[in-house]
Amino acid sequence: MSDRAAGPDAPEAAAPDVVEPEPEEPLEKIAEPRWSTRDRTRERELIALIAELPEADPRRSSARDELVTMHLPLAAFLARRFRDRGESLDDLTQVATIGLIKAVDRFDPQRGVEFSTFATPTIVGEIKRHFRDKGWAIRVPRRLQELRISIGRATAELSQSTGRSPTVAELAAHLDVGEEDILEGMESAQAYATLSLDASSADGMEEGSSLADTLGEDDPGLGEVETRETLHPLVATLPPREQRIIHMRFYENMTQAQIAEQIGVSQMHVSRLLAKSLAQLRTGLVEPTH
Amino acid sequence: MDLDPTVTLRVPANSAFVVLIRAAVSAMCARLDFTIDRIEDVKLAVDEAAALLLSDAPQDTHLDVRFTPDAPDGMRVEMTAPTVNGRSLERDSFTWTVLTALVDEVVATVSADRNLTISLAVHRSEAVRP
Repeated sequence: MSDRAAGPDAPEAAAPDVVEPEPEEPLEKIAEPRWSTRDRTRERELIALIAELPEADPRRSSARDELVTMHLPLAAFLARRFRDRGESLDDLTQVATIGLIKAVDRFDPQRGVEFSTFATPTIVGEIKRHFRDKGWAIRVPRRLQELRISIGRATAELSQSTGRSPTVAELAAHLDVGEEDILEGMESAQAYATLSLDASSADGMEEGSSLADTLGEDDPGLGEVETRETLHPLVATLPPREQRIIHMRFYENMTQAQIAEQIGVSQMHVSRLLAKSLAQLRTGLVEPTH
Repeated sequence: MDLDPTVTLRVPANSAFVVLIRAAVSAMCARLDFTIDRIEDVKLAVDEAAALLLSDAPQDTHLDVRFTPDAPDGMRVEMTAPTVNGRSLERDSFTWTVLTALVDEVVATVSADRNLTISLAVHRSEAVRP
């Protein structure tokens, strides 16, 4: 392990073109889970034990385990700051936990900083590395990512004024870029989506936390979806919001823009979720004859 | 100008090449001044049709895509690939449901030599079909 094992103070040797995901708020503003003085004392004891005891000592490894366990809420907390970027919260929590274990192993009490002060950037670094290594299915240059965001914003603005989704030419004129740039930007949105293809359905409620998820508005009447018997069990594996979108698009014939409005996300997001859900259903439908 | 406006694209029958079809489809849609909503729908439909064709295409074959103008303000996307068993697209399949929801018209035909063609007609209008 050379640069891969780099600590928080090692410079991140990232490709300059690739945007790193940033937590929603600056790190300084992220309050860590509350600690009691007793925890702090115990933390210091554990760190002292780890530093003193020889590696083979079973007491050392149990101290190490305890220190890791104590900080699991911190890892989970930091993982949550990066959700809604196409990676499942489970995966992120796992990556954060790996970061935490690395922090425990690398912590040097001689440096005179608190363990959590040291652990936070190490965990965040691990999460960022995860996004960098596995995040984007295709490395999407910064220019395209920014474009994707501008397109999303412009689409919302133009839809507002015209009452329908804009054309490529309209977006190009609005953003003062070429039509080809718009097409490229639209396609890059899909590159971001592919990474969540295998995101487990269990965290469907977590990701893309829109207000609509928590509101029990009009029942999508999933019963009708069930009429397609081969499909029913598969659709049921999708997160609730994806199920609704599938229903609205394919059984109620709503447009992506209408769905976007009802669900409270961008049209591009609806498009991504549809593509993702269809791909997921497709893989489930390949083997049995349909 | 009586130049044939048909555009054809032939790619290996491998999912890695679907991205090329998508790119061509969106560029064609943009030329026809489709809304991006519509373009995303057509891309989804093409994805879906390609996935179906590829699932049944033998090794080392090709997927052919033909774009032809279709009045008014639309185009027809015909995607053809050989199949192992000459099966067509069932009307009660999920793929059919998806395709018919996304585009204006879907026609599936199997030729005598077991080539399956899925033809999708798409028009500019964004009006929701009843």
